[in-house]
Amino acid sequence: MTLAQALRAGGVRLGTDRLIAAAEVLAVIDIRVRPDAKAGLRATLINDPADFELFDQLFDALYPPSTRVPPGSDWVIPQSPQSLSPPALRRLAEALRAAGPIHTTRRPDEQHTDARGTYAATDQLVHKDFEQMSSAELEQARRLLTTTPALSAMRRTRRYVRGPVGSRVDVRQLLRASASGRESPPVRLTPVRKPRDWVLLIDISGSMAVYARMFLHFAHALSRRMRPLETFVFATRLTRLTRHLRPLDPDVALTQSARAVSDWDGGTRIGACLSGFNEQWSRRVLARGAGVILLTDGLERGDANAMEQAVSRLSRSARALVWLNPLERSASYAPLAMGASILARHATRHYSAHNVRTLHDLVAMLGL
Amino acid sequence: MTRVAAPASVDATRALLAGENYLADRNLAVVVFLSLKLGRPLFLEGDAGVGKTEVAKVLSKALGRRLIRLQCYEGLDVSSAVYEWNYLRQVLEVRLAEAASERETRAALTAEVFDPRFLLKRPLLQALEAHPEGPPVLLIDEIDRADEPFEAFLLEMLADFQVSIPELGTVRAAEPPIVILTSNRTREVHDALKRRCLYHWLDYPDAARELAIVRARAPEAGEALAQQIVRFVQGLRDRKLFKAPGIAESLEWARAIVALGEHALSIDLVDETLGVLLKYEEDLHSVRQELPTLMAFIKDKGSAQ
Repeated sequence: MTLAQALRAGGVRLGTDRLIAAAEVLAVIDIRVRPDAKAGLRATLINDPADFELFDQLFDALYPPSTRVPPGSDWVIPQSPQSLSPPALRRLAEALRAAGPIHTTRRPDEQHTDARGTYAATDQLVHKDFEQMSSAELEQARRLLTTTPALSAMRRTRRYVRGPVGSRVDVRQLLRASASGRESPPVRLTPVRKPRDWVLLIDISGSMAVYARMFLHFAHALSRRMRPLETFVFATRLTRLTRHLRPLDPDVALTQSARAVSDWDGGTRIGACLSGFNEQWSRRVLARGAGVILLTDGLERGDANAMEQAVSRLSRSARALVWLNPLERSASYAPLAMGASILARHATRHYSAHNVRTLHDLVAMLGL
Repeated sequence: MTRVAAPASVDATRALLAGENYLADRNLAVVVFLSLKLGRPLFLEGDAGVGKTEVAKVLSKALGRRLIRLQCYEGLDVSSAVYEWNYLRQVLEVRLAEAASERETRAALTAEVFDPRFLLKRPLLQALEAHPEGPPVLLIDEIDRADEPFEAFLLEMLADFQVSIPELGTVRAAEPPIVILTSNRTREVHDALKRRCLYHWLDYPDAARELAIVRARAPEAGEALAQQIVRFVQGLRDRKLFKAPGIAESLEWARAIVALGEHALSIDLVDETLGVLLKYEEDLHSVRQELPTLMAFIKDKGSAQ
């Protein structure tokens, strides 16, 4: 089916089972009523609202409203994707690109001379632009980061398994044992413990340029080690990178991420971006007691009031709000800047984060 | 009870829902029709208060079927979703057998204890039973709140419409129930589950449809008030709010205002009753500050019409 091929090309994962379902739909619905056929196909082929736009555009491109669709199962007009009209192709491309222009990967700046660190070898490696690293160095840095243990904090779930201790008794097991004549001590039910979900919010604005890449690598390493990790980056607008960071190879993952983000080195609108996060994502990713790790220097250019509101809402929605601040490396630092003082007030904890060591320490420390 | 036949076309489906005061848009009617026709579960996703649960309720009413509702939560397991043994009665039975000191074999006792008499049927098992009025509507509400293990279990059940009880054997549905799953999208439900369903994203209605809904569901509000309410709520949805009000909130608000004995919106009235619409302090605060603008907007539109 042409439509299915085009959807696959657009990144929608489609199995044969869904195509069969679509065929079933076409068999029972009056396909001369175009909107009905469209709605029916959409219900079987698409299951993510994010893909609706793509579907609608492809459907309209392949089956223009004027086309009389011949009844029967071969109504799918044999039309190869290549024969799509140029505007349709362009629209497909646009839909794929989501919003915003593709930003070519930032050219690496001249090497940042960084005398700020204290752990000489590690620090040098970590602060070096990843794009400039030789493959050996990259491997080394990656190993450093992948030794990052998974965030250790656990949460109790409401699911129970049989165990030696626990406040509930497995009555079913008990009864089965007593009916079969075996006398056995009561089997207890223990709550299952699961790792807590975490959300990383990474500031990639100009003032954070040195660190953003490193944090992205950190995010990638973490997301390889623990399943539920959501990653977002922001400078002037919020971008979700969870999916882009999924590939195993960090190079691929970071290149994909770089392409998805349009505001590298932009200004900082922490308040606006966080309130965007609150509105769009918090309900989805902060359910089930997730914690938030916010990586920013807290240098806000926007409105203080808006930021205060956004941060306080965020800290109340999340189980914990951990603020990682690269500026905090010096002992004399105090969060006096407007944004920083707001963050310091609302964060559950704040730590320094400017090299691999501090990130590792942090992960070990987060026994929330 | 006479058995109501499933609607034969999309239009009939729409009419059926409208008969119970549920005004569905065309796309929703299409997926409901398909779900009934193909016997596929319907997966409804959307923000809170857009009428996802209502679809199931209305459908069961319109078709005269029983509504079996399973509210999901984390840790939902077989014993609360499918079946559980009535342990108390089982223990009692064992004690009685012992007291009577019958020379029963252990096997016979086990068979006796794990008898359907002692089975507590939970929603999923109930849904598989035969019902005289036709297969029931099984509403699996807020599936996103359940955890992955339950989702995996559901996958199996929705594929074959059967569950197995080790002590009794497999229970298979004579006729598959009409299954509706809802999700608020607090988490992404696994693809494998969605794949088995027809997927529909339920959105906030446009002004015209919302007005029709308020008229149908809260007729006591009267035409003028209904129009004002819809305009105000639609205005709110365009704003940046942490949680925009749903249709449920509009209806609730209309009823609240009627309960207060008012017939038109005024700034004071809106201020007093805003808690019905908005449930977050930040939202309340930001809207209160701009009440005069919002009210003026309503008036403008009102006089323009």
